[in-house]
Amino acid sequence: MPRKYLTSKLIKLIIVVGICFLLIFLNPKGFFNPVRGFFLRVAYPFQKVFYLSSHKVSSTFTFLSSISDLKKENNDLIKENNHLAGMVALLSSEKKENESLREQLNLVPRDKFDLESAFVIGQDMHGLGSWLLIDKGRSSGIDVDMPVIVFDGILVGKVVEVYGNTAKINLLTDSSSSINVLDLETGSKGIIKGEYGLGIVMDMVSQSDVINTGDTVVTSGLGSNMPKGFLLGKIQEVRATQDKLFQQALVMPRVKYSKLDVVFVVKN
Amino acid sequence: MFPRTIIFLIIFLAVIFQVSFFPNFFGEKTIPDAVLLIVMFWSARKGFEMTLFRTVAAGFMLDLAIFGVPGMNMLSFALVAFGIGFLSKRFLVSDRAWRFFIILCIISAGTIANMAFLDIFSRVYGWANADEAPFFQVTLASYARPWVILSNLILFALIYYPMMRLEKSFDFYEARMSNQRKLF
Repeated sequence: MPRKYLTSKLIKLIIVVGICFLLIFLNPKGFFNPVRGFFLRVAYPFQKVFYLSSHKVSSTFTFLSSISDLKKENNDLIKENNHLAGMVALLSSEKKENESLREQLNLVPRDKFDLESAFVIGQDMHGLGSWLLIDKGRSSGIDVDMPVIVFDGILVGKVVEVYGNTAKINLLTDSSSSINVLDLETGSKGIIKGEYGLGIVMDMVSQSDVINTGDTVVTSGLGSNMPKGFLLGKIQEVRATQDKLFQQALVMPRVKYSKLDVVFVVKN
Repeated sequence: MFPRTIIFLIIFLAVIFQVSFFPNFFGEKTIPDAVLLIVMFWSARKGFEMTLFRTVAAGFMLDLAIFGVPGMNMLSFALVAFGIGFLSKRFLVSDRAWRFFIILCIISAGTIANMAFLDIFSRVYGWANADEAPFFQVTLASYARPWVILSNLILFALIYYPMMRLEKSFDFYEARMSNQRKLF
């Protein structure tokens, strides 16, 4: 390169680029985990206050914008209430049956979990990595690989990094997520994988297995320390993989991950 | 020392806003890049060399907060700031009406460039660590996400004047300090 192009500006840029490459290269060894831990410890109170206050303000705006729909919604709710009153009578008899089936299937009863409630205090702003930051960490007994659910036993992801007062949760939609699941109706087994923040797919389902649109997908309890019986969502679409060796199903999650404010970490 | 502390606080708050405040108001993938915007503002106003430390600090802090690979945002911010400094030196000399239009174009270009850099770096990083297959079918159109650009432009319009006032007060403070040094 001719000397006239090597200005001090360009030399500084080259030095910074070099340092960045060095940092990126050092990272796989977890070199910066203590620094990140310190940063998160300092940022924790700010993140908590900012996230919770913005969530409140955002909820108020959502409520105000939905006022015009309240009358229609009220009518719909009255109809739904009448329908549900009938369903309650029917379901009370099915509850007993469900309990005995749950026992036979070895599903963990939902009230037996040691749950640690946590507020969400940060999230992936581009939705590509699909993670959440919660306000509980090692000091609350949270550890890596613990499943994270919402109140009614719906799995949203698992803990991947733990710091003093915070922990990072990888959502099911994250490309690195991989959980053994089964189709509750047909018993077909597969693996749930994230699609870069775009959705979740039940993959590696054998061609001989049956999976149908509308079937419920739950964790199978195989492999890692993920208990059996956590709900993930319903099958929206079934398709064959490109190599035609397996079937795939697009799964519609039961919760909108970007709107979560409270989650539960399953400690046992 | 005083301006540096304020600058550090601004970067810290921008990171907190980006990770823990804006996600509740903006839809997925439309959250404005607050940290990138202040980096672009500084490099457009003072040039790349004068704001190099701020750029690097902002990138590193964002990398820590978003659980990214430390160095990734730093690298992207440094390249964007270099480009912004280069462009603003050549184009931000025209009259006021054109100046505003050019700033908008530069902010849009910086946003697209940042998205492209981050995507390419993370793909290369993933490939180097055998996490995923390399994928190089990158087109400029795939990074021109209009809603992100729009939200960045709106936020930039909101922060432009407060930041400008702050910078002017820093200039005044530094001028006064250098005068005092000359006297004593």
